Amino acid sequence: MTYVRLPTTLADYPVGKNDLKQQYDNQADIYNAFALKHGVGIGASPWSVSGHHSDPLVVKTVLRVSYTAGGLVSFYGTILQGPGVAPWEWITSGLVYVGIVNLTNVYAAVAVDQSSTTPVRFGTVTYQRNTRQRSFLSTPNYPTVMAVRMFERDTTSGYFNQADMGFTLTVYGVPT
Amino acid sequence: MATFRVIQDRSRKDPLGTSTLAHVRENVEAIQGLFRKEHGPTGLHNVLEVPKAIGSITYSASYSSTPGGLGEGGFGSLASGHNPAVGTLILTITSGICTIDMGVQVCSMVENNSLYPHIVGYNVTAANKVEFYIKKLNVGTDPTALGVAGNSWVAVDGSFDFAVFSVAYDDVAASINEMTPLTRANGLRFGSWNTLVDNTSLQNHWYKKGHTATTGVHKIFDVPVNTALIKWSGATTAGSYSAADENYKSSALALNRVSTGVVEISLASGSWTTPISAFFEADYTRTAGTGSQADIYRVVSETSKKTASKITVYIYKYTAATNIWDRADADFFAVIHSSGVP
Repeated sequence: MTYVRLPTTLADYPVGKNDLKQQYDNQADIYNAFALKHGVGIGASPWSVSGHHSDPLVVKTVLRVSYTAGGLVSFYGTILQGPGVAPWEWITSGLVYVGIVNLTNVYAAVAVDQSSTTPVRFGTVTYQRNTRQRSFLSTPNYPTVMAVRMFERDTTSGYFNQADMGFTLTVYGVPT
Repeated sequence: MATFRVIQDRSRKDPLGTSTLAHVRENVEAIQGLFRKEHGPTGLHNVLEVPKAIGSITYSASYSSTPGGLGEGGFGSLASGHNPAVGTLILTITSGICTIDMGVQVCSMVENNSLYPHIVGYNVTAANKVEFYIKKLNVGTDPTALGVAGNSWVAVDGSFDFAVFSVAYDDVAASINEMTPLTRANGLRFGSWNTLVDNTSLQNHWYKKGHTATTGVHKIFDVPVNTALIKWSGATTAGSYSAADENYKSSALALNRVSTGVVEISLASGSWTTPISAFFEADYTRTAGTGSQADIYRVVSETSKKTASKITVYIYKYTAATNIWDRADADFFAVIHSSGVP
């Protein structure tokens, strides 16, 4: 259907049954179109209740993790928003696992943080399945794990080594 | 949140029924509840998952910028002093739409048939400023830059695509006219009728800002037109690429392996609409556990020669054992933004 702009009325405008029907049809059109990409009716998953984007093309989770030097394990950060939120866990220097919930066909991109121009850094990301289980990975709630690996060029050796650094992980996927 | 109420045809033809009118009013609230979750006061997206700013920064003697799409949320600018040093680019984002916790997605663009991989990192320095640092492999000389032992990098001015994500900047979001719940004897009065009509009209206007009516497809630059995991067959010679876990608005991807580590991406049907911002991410070797320094690392870059009909991707591999960068075939993720629905 096509949205039809209805007239507003004066006190004596004779609003009739066709006006009311059209008003409702307009609402139904908007609702139905909106529902297609905004999580309405996707079972019992978190995507079905809130108006969150369920469109597979829209990012599902943005994870920004910062790093402060001085501690052996000094990551901190928050997963900011989205039903696809999941815990992350520091595994070893330059390697973080992120559990993904209520998503399938997951893929992601990572960008690395740096506080100055000096270090040469980059990150990569992949699915990480059938690896040793971590506490938050041992439940079926987090069937998918993205592993973020970060590298920094060692100025002494000249080689790339895994190293801790801040990063942004953007996760895409199909809601389940 | 109010639930959208289906009104039977018989009832909606009865303008005198208070309960029918009440349901119509509830439907206004139901739509509003869904909408305001992730959309701002003007109907534009206002949520972490949709970029607040997205576009391309290109360098050719000097920097220029190409905002993505329709200007949703505000792109920002290359303010005075945006290039304080070689290899440093400062993007000033429109104030008030991001926080210091913003996230960044960035992908280098290299020149056509580049023999030098690029790397770009980011540094959020303020709620409206992001610095990007661009570096280029600095070993060998054309045409032997790749395949030569060495891993030194030099700061260079260069091009890249970027997207900035941040939490919603206005939780109030789009406002409609408040409506008092209809009760018995309210019936159909011109005031309530006018409000119903106005609210639905507003909602339709907001919705069409970023969505195609009837299908709900996002029609804005902020939402990609194609996403996929692009997989390499693994064959050492005469292998091929294929797309998996693919999502798209109008057409699947077509892939053409030009040579080792060089992949042309286009649409199987039709073409994109410029401008285009594209993000590629290497899917590193699936070695379980913690990995080691002997692993192969990959970086994916793409050319600034991208057009509406084709994007060329270059893939590089670093072999620690020999300290050599070279071209290589590999799996990678692709996210492509284009104006409108192509």
